[in-house]
Amino acid sequence: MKIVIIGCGKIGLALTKELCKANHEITVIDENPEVVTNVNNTLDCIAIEGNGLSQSVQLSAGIDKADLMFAVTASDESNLLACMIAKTLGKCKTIPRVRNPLFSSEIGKLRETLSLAMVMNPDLTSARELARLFGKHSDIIDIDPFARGRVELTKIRVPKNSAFDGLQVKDLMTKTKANVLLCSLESDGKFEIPCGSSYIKSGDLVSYLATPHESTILLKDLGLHSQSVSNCMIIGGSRLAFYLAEQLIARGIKVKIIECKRERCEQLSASLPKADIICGDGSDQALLFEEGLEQTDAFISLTNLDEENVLLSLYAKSQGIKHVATKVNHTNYGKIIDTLDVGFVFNPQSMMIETVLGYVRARISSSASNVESIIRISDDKAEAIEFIINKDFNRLGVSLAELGRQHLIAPNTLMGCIVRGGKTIIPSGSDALMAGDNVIMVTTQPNVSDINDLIF
Amino acid sequence: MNLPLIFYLWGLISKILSGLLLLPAIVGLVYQEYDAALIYALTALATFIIGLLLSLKKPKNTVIYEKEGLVSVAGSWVLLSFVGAVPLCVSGDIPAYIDALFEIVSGFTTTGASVLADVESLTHAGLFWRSFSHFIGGMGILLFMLSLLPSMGGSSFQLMKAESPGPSVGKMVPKLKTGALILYALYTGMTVILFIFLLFGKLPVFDSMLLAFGTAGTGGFSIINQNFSAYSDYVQIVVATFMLLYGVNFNLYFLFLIGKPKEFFKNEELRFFIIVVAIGILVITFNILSAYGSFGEALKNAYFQVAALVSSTGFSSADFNQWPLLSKTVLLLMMFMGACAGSTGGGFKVSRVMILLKSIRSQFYAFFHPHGVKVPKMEGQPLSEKLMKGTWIYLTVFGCLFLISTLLLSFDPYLGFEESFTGTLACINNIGPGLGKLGPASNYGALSVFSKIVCIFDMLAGRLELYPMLVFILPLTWKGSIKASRQ
Repeated sequence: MKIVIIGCGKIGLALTKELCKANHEITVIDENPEVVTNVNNTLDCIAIEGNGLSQSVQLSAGIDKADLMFAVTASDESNLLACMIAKTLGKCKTIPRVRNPLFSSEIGKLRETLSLAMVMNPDLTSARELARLFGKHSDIIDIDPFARGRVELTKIRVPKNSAFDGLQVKDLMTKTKANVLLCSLESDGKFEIPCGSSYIKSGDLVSYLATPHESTILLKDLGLHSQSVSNCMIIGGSRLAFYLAEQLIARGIKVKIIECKRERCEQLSASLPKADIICGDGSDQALLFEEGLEQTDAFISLTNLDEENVLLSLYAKSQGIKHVATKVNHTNYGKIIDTLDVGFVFNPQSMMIETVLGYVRARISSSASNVESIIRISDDKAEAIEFIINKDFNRLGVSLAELGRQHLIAPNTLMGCIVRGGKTIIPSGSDALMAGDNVIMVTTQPNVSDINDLIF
Repeated sequence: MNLPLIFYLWGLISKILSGLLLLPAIVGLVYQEYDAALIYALTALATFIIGLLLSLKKPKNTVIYEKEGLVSVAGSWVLLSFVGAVPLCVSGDIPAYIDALFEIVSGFTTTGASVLADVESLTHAGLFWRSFSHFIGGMGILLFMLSLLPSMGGSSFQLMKAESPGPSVGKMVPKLKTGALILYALYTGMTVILFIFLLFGKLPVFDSMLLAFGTAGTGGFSIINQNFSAYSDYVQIVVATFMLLYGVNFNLYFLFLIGKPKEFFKNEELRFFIIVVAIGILVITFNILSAYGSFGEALKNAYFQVAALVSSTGFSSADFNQWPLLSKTVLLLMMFMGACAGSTGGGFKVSRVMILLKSIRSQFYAFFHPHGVKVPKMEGQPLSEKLMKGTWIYLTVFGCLFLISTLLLSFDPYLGFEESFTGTLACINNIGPGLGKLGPASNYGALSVFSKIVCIFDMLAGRLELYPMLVFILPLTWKGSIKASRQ
């Protein structure tokens, strides 16, 4: 696809990298000549120096022939304006980034009026994600919903001394009543899609597909109960903090935000009347104790500095707080940070990009299927992709056993789950795909955009 | 420095070279020169094996930084030259290896300076390989590789930047592979058209093909012992026109493809090029009028010679050594300026000359308005300080290389000042003939071995725009890398 990206900051650059990898034709517009040179030298795309709001610059970037346009500059207003201008020059779908809470609440109407395909709000996306994981045991690393929440992809770290330690996957089913399908196993840095004879040991990262109900049973058997969280301390009063506080307060959790700028505190206090806004420096341990760090159930570091977030989280963990989350803006040190005990580490840009990639892939689906969502498992080693099967799919009604026997399924691909008429089926060899099914497949194949990429 | 990646790239280049070596082998078979065909085939095989060994393991990290880009490109061309010389030497066409090396370097760098006194005694395979090296060297072998092989990531742009001529290299389309393919398609297409034109000029197929190769790469290897006046006026004018066409930025031809022909004519560099060439032709025409009977004759010769030297091709339709001093000086200036950036021509490049002139104008403006701010512009965009500074430094490096080479050449008892000066210019700017004993009626055969080595380095340095070869021979570049790779 031909894609134009306006603005090459953190998100713009991450988006460009991902889309270049997926082999799209990308043109980037940015006003900073150094950014332009850097992109031209390191990525397989063109970067143009210029103002993305100018018609001539957009035209020279080929907006008239583009399929998709992202406006991800630092200013919401510029992004929206760029989308409007793009609509007058071409037929591309437009996706702006809009961060300001002022717009986000009224975004529905704006979307309609400006015919925006999607609105990117990384802070809101991250806040929703965090809220979903909130209160879950720390060994539960991630939960992603599929099929409108009927199925969840859960990623856990196998706890020490659990009943599953040292078991083979086929024996696992005897140890638990839960009906789940294991999709991925990451052991000592090595990744595989597990088969019956794979071994699981403590410390391994395991992903599985199950209905929320079955998932709860499995987690209980593993000893990973949810714990109730009644209050939470957030360091850093950013937009993300605001969205998160909103979500948590709605769930009845008491929220305390520690922010160092007085003016920002006043803004937060006005928009979050039910939260406690404390003006002070989060690294001031005396302040934290003053505000009851010892009785805090959950601690979330959301300052703008990765280093500060890491240190704050390490400190919180050392004080015995079980639920800790750390925001990391720069993904370069990902592997190192993973070795530290800082709880749940997340990168708002990555979370946003996953959603966007799913959308982009869905645009190039063919008539055999539609891509509903894509979730990345273990960075970019594997993906869980949700398809809706259409009537044009050529293997309707063919059983899975038959597909396997005739080698019609791509290598390293697992059929995780079929949702049909509201019921979730963990498929066995005799099940087959029907039109209208939601099917979730886990695969290591890259750039999958259609069911035919996985079932030939 | 990522040595495994550099060796891997050299392996790929070797494999491509081995494929190209099969072409002269086929020519040898067609002309029943079986010994020569066998030698080329064996060289191809050996090169392929070398290529296999070097590219056995694809390194995990395939990011190419600027240093790797420069070294890969320089090393590829050195490898190309050393290997390409072997069949010419072994087949007996050019018995001394140093001479064969000189000839093939002159071929790949599209210089066109020859050590041969009697070109016509070469095997057909040898003649083909000589001229074909012009074709491949003109657009570049790395660009050829980038157009063929699957993408290795965005940083392979560093390879294109290191090999392409011009102060700044831009992208026409987002994907590097597509861009490279388009350039080669335009290049090959134009060459085929030239070939057809030459066939219409009643030249035999073999001659038309080799002449087309030599013109396409703006190389200048001749396949006859006489100069170009042996060909008909039609052929001379066709070749002259195409030499100028190949001296134009290929990115501009792309504009025609995507339906923006007006932008082609708006290009500043193109206009400057046309004006300078036109003035040069007129001045020379009137200057040599007395030597030639008619205005038409003088114009034709002036047109051909200016086109040949400004595009750095180096064909000669007359012994311009005999022309008046004014004409020779004008030709020397043409030799210095060279063709447009992004073309197959050599020389200092028209856009660089323009950048230097514009920065001089800024300096003079500052004398009149000490507090004035006037940003010089090029092709409608502001000219950055970085680009201007880079161009001045390039000029200085050029000057230093030029002076050192002239000095080294002066050791040769065979060469006088005129020769060492113009010979260096002809080699660095990949033109071919100089003046005096290195003029168009003579050859480089009588130079000492040392002088030939100096010229070989100059030709490679000039074709790759100085920095790749200079970085390649600096010990600092390799310090630590070899030690690290041993561990």
